[in-house]
This record gives sequence, structure tokens and C-alpha cells, in this order.
Amino acid sequence: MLYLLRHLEGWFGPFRLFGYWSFRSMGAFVTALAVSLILGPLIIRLLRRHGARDQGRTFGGLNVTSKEGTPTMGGLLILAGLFAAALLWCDLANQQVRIVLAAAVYFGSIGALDDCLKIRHRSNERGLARHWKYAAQIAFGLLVAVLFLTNYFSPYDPRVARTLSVPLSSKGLYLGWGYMLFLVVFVVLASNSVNITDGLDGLAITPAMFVAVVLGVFAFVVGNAETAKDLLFRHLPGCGELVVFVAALVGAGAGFLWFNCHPASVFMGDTGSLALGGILGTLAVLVKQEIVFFIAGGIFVVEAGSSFIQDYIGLKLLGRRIFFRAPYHHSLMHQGSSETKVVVRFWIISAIFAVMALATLKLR
Amino acid sequence: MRALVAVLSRHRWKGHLAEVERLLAAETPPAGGIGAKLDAWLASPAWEVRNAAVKLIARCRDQERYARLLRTLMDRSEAGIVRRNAAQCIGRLGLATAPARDALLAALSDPYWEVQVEAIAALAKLFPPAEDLELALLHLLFGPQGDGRRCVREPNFEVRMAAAFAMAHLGSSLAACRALAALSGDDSWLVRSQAVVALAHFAARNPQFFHEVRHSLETADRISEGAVSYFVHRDILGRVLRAVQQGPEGLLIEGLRALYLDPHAGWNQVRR
Repeated sequence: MLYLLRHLEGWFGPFRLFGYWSFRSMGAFVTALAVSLILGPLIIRLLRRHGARDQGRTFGGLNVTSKEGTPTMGGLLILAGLFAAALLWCDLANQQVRIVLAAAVYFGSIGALDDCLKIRHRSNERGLARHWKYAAQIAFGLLVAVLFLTNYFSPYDPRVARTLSVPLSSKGLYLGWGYMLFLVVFVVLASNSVNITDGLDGLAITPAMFVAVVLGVFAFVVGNAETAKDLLFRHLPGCGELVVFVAALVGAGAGFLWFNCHPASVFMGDTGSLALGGILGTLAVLVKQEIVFFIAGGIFVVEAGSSFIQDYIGLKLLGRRIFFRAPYHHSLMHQGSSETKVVVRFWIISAIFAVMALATLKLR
Repeated sequence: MRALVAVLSRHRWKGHLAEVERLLAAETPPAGGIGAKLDAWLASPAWEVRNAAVKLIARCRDQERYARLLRTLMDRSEAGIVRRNAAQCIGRLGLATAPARDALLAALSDPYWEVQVEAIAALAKLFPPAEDLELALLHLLFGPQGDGRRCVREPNFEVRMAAAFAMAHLGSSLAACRALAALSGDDSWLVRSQAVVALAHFAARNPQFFHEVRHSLETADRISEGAVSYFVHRDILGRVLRAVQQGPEGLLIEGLRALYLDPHAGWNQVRR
């Protein structure tokens, strides 16, 4: 909304600042951080009072019941900070911003429903059935695909929209309508990978912030005609506004991490993890950097990959474990590493992945 | 191929699995009359059904199918989890027979680590100290050419932990003592902790090696990477040391074991 103040530049000169992404990004970051920090204790108290507590579970013998009772659905805190900052600082007429806000609401709602069912049944096994969760994610993927690929709705030239950007190459891979299938699979993978990674205090949110920063940098590059030309990217009009959104996301994430760092006062739950995954996946699609998402979010790929290999190849097909435990962070815990050590090491690795992803900006 | 067929024909055996799991979950084990069904389940193409059937044999204490359990353990084409549970069930049934001993010793060279772990645990549970069992453990840890003192070659920490536990029960020579000393300097603090407790057990059973054990305990690596276990580890090691310094009869082994092996005593309980 503050974006509109730039129209009053003639009346008061400094209002022109509201037209710049850089200024609004800083404002969005500070607002999201402040809202998360201020609302944090309140939301945690509310969650505790309403019985929104984590249910104990075991991961193949690894006992994590000690976390039972910690308030969950802390994703609401992320979403509160994100929406407050985005509504205040983003240009809401921008189609990309609307799509990514819709993703936040949609995936946040699926996650909240899942969390509510788990809380009601007092069991982590009795949330939203897996097939319903997949169906809802596929439905959103299809919706985005339709919005993205049809001439009438697409914010980009249809040929550009159907092209997959390939890192280290200035030419993309034209997939035609096959991109629709890719997009659906990508959105489902992105949202679930963050969900799978969310298993230790602060483990999912920090890599998610790194990925968001990487996608923000790419949004800045492709949204700016001159920078895009210099770095051999295709200019995507309107994408620059996503930088403000990303700043809000990082601010909200930092605010949440304040309460989620070990030992956590609140967990994000599926409300947060599915929303984060959905937002990051949608952002990657909007800035046309789907493969970069897999590089920057290497931690998510490793976690989801280890879980998939263990469950489907190891246990279902071969009848044996491949890893000690899955996802991989549980394997490290099982080997005696402390939670803090695993989490900090994953942060370091995710920072390395983020740098690798950023390196593809110039190496083309 | 067998696994693929099982996955593709999932709809056929899902009912069988549900039935076995219902029997397993029942408060009292099935009284009898399920022999024919058990045989059918053990021949199922789905490893999940065979696995549940193996567990049911242990639950029913069905000694008629004991030989079948041993065959399952030795059948390397069987799914790893089924072999693991077969080893566990052999230990649970408590029949210390010669065929079981041979099968469990053969399972020490199984390519799947969980089978090795359960086989080691079953050997320690079923059999008294014996030279060949100790030698088998030493071979497992150090390789056939190893000198049993320095270089532990077993890469899997779960197997090393199980071997440390078993060595305390099955070992009775200086080589066993030295193997435990080597494990007390292991890279994994979980193995080191297990080795420290095993050394204390070993000293209680073999007082002639008391001085070697005391030396090993005094030089054991006290650092732990577990969050709170760091302090627990130091605390326990300090108590073991104090007890050992007072003499073998002063060892409060059972208390220490309970503290170590109780899942509520370690790092995972601290958050409460």
C-alpha cells in the first residue's frame, strides 16, 4: 500500500523513495522482522492455550518424544510477518506478487488443515491423508500452470514461459506444453522437500531463507532490463517486485528463527513448511530459475532424496535400510551428533549451495 | 525381481499383512492352530508378510518353526529386515543350540549391518564365554589379519557398539581386553561409551585383567559430541573410574548399565 505514496512525489519529494525496490525491500524486511518478533510471544501463547502442541513420534527407533508438547503451527508467525510486510510494501497490482501471495495462502491452508487434524487426533500419523495432500498440491501446480502458460493470463511471453532456464547456459530448453507437467511436479517436489527437512530446531527455516535470498537476487537480475542484458538473462518484466516479497519472507523467517532456534519455543509445523516450500517453488517458477532452486536448495534435495531412497527403494522394494535413519538429519542424530551440531552444519552446507547457485549468475 | 513382483501384487497380500499384524498387536499371543497359516505367510512373495510372520514365531514361541528361522537367517537372498528380525527372534526364543550358534556365527559376515548387530546381540545373550565366539568378534572388528589391539576395521558404528557389548560377555582373554581398549578410543562417542561400560563388565568378570582395564579407563577419551551426553558421558566415566579404583567388587555395573541403556537418561530427556 505504501507503494502508492510514490504518486504523491510531487506533493512531498521523499515519497519517490517508495518507488524503489531497494528502499521497499529494506522496509519489508524490517516490517516482517518486527511483526514476527512482536507477535511471536503472543502467537506462541495462543497456540499453547489452544492445545496446538507437537505430538511425540519416533523415527525408526530414534526417540524424539522429548519435543512433545512444544507449540506447533508456528508457520502462522511466518505468514503473519510475511503478509503484514507484503501488503504494506509490495505493489499489489503486480501479477507475480499476487500469484506468490496466493501460493502462501493456499499452501499455508493445506498445512494448517494438516496440523489441525494432527492436533485433534493427538497423533502425527493422523493428519491430512497423503493422497489428499498430493492432490491439493497438484491442483495448485495445475492452476499456476494454466495461469502461467495461457496467453491471456501469463505475465510473460508464452514462449518464454514454456522455456526451462538451464544454469551455465544462456539458452533455455523449450518444453512447450510439457512444461505444464514439469511445473506441477516441481511445485509438489518443492513444497514436500521443505516439509521433509523440517525435523530439527531451525533446520528448515535457515536454508529456506538462503534459497529465498538466491531467488531474490535472480528476481532482481531478470527484473531489471539492463542487468538482465549484461548477464545474458531474458528480461522478465515485473519480476523485480518479487525482490520486495523475498525481503519480507527473509524478515519473517528471521523473526521466526528467533523463537525456533534450539531449544525451540515453537515449531513451524506443516503450516510453515508447506507454505515455505510452496512459496519458494512458486518464486522459482516466476523468476524462471527452477533448476537453480535445486542447486540453492541442495539441502532440501538431499533430505527429500534420502527419505525417498530409504522409504521407496530401501524399505518398500529391497526390504532393508539404506541409511541408518531418514531423512538424513535423523541419521546423523542416530550416529550421536547433537542437534545443534547437525543444524549448524546443515546451515553451512546450505550457504555453500546458495553460493554455488549465485555463481551460475555469471558463469554462462 | 521377487521384490518387484511383491510390490506389483500388493493388493493380493495386503489382507495377509493386516491379519498377521492384528495377531502381533493382540495382547495375548495366538493360542495355536495358526501353523498352516504361518507356513503360508513365510512363503509369501511380500517381505512385509514374511517379516511379520517371523516376528509372530517369536511371539508365539513356536519352536516347531525354529529351523525355519535359522534358514531364514542364513538365506542371503531374503530381505535384510526379515533376516535381521530372524536373528533377533532366535535370541528371544532363548534356545542355545549348536545350529543356532552356527547360523549366528555365519550371520556375523552378513552384508547387511543390522543382521550383524542382531546376530552379535543374540550370541551374547544365548551363549557363555567361548574362545571361538571371542575370536569371531575379534575377526569382525579387526579383520582376520588384525592384531586385535589398534586398528578397528569395522566401518559401521552400530556393529562396533554391538561388538563392544558382546565382547564384555563373551570375551575372556587379553586380546578381548585390548579390543575393548581400542574401542574406548573410537571416533564415535557412542561406541566409546559402550566400550567403557563393557570394560567395566569385563573387569568384573575377569579380575585378572583389572590393571589393564583400569589403565584403559584412565586413558579413555572422555569427549562426547552429544549435546547433553557430553556431561553424562563424563559423569559416568568418572563414576566407573572411581568404582574401579576401589576394586572390582566396588563396581556398580548394573546401575551404570541402567543409566547408560535407559533411553530416558540421556540427551533426549533433557528438554522436558
